[in-house]
Amino acid sequence: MTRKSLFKHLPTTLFVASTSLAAVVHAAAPTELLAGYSGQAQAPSSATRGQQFFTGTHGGDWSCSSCHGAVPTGGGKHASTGKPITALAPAVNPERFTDPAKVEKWFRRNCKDVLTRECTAAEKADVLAWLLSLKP
Amino acid sequence: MNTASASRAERSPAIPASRRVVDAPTRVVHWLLALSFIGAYLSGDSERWRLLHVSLGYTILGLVVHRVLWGLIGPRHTRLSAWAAKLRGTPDFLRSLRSGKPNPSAAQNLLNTLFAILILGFALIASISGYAVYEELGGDWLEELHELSSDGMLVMVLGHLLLIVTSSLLRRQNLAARMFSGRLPGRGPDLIKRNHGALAALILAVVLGFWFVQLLAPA
Repeated sequence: MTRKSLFKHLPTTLFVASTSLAAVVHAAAPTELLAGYSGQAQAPSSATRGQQFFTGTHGGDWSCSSCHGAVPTGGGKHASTGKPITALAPAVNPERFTDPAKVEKWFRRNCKDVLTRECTAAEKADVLAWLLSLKP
Repeated sequence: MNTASASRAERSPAIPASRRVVDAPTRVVHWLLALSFIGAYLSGDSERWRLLHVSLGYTILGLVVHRVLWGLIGPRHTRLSAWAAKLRGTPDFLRSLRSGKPNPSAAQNLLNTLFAILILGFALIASISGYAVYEELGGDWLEELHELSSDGMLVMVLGHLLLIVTSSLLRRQNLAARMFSGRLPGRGPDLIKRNHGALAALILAVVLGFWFVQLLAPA
């Protein structure tokens, strides 16, 4: 279990606060976020790789699907608390992937839970490409 | 009850004289709050520990509510009015600082009361905002409030520990001991007349039972 220290945490809070402010001014479209991640990765994204990544356990006991479902056009169920989770696919749930700070926060948290490390920009691009390809 | 036999035992010459200064419920709640806070702070970043984190948050809220109620109806020295009286000593203390003759015991008392109030205040904000985040009752500002108040509580806990350690060293007296035994060495009547051991046992049983139901019992 990794711990962020208080001092590591403060800049994050400021960053999230400032980016949330930016998000109010300009809510990003999921496609813009995808373009940003692909640009960072300097490679085109692949929805097929994204699906494999999302449903794979990566050597652990959890996959992204453990909480979000194998095809996240439907709701998921938290693997620890059993609480319902709303659909991840933007076609079903238009609020998803519109707030860059929130997207970064949850990628960071959830990648550590599934992979015990943060995800790369290429992995985020692949997953987002797959989620954007899903229709209701 | 057994309080009568206990005070007889204390008067026997074999046991050094001591007097009760902290009742059992206050001590049990103090240590349960300390444990719950450490656990909740460490489990805050992972979904794997989410159920533990949330359960400890509920526990913290319950403990704080108990402490406030106990501060209204409990023994005189554990009451919120006793804290208020200590805080009213602040101007006197500041004057003594300027005159260059501060009383170390008064300083420690005043600061520790402040820490206790701030710890409980931040704990209340952190647990209520955490509940609101978990139940998705509000926006991102609730998450910010939850994280800031948790960090605020951490700072106050560290301040409290630093104060107890440094004043113990300065006064050559283990100031943490009373929160374990409830007693201070020395003759004289108990500051706290009744230990309320049964209430302390009940609180402990309720918390352990809650943890069992939340974390271990099959759904």
